[in-house]
Amino acid sequence: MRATHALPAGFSARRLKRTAEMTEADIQHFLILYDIPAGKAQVRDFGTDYEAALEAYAEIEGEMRDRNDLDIVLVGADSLETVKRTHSSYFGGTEETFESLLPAGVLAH
Amino acid sequence: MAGQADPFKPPAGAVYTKGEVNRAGELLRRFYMRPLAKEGEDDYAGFDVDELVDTMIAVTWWRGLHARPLSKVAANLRYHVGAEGAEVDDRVDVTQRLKRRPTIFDKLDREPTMQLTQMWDIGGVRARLPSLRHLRAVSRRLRKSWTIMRTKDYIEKPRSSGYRAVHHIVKRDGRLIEVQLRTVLQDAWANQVEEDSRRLTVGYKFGRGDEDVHDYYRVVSDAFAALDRDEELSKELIAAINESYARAAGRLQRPPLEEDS
Repeated sequence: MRATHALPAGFSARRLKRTAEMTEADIQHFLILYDIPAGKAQVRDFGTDYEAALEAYAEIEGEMRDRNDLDIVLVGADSLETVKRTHSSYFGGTEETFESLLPAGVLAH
Repeated sequence: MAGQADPFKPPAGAVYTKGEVNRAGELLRRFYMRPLAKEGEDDYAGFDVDELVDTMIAVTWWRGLHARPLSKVAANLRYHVGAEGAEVDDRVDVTQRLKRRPTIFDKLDREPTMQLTQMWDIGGVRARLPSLRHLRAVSRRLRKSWTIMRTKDYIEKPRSSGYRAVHHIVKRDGRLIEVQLRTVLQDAWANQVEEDSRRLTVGYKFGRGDEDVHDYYRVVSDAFAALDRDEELSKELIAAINESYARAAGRLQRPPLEEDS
């Protein structure tokens, strides 16, 4: 077993790293193009280049301005995985509806 | 506006005054509220297309000014969520977004007196938190360390739709940024309403559409609120969920309730 260092209760080295070291320059930017009828998202990954992401966002919004069947949104987080968790409805999470979060047996369906 | 591809990209070094940004918002509001053109009529009648393109550029420019302050607020929020031990599945669920252009216009349309420079959610950050206790603790931290202009506690006072969350409007580098704190259940509820709205192309998110659907959303939100408070669901609430589900399931394209067995 590894020696444990004197960190406050509830803290792990990993958590300290994640929280203390992340600055605005580390945020990853993703442009989501969600095809509503198809229920499918296309993601363009800009890494930490916010300028490029902003330019592409305005450009695609302009090009696609008549496409009511598309949702275009620029999001940012530490990783695409986080975006998939917080914007799950864009990523095929559509089969699981919020009824599944009710306790078993509450809804008789 | 015109037929050709126009990136609506602000020219390098472009600067607008707040007055110009607000006038751009006004013009776009009038444009989007115009009566629908009849067959054969000019859809842009009474509007100067070049001017509309210019205003579009001004709006995009104004939105871009929120990018850096938004990232700073988001990075800072991540820190506070982590420091409070408010991860979900060992992850800090914080995501930022710059408001979509169509939803900026929708909002101008819905709020006829709002000036574009006073729109507080062009930059938005959201945290998904494991419990009410964590949400309150993170909220307290933000109050201590940030310049909070306004707080809307939709947990104390849910919106009539059933929406629950705590929103803080903060000022960073002169820009307003909206911070939304939600429990996992509050977030699932809001995302479901948004997803149903998008999938069924009904503005449930904005209170439009069938009242049966809204009744159902409200009782589910009440149930999630009880679960967030670690309460059992009352018999009455369970009955209300089932009754309202039976009325709304068809519209929402959810499976019907099983017959009594």
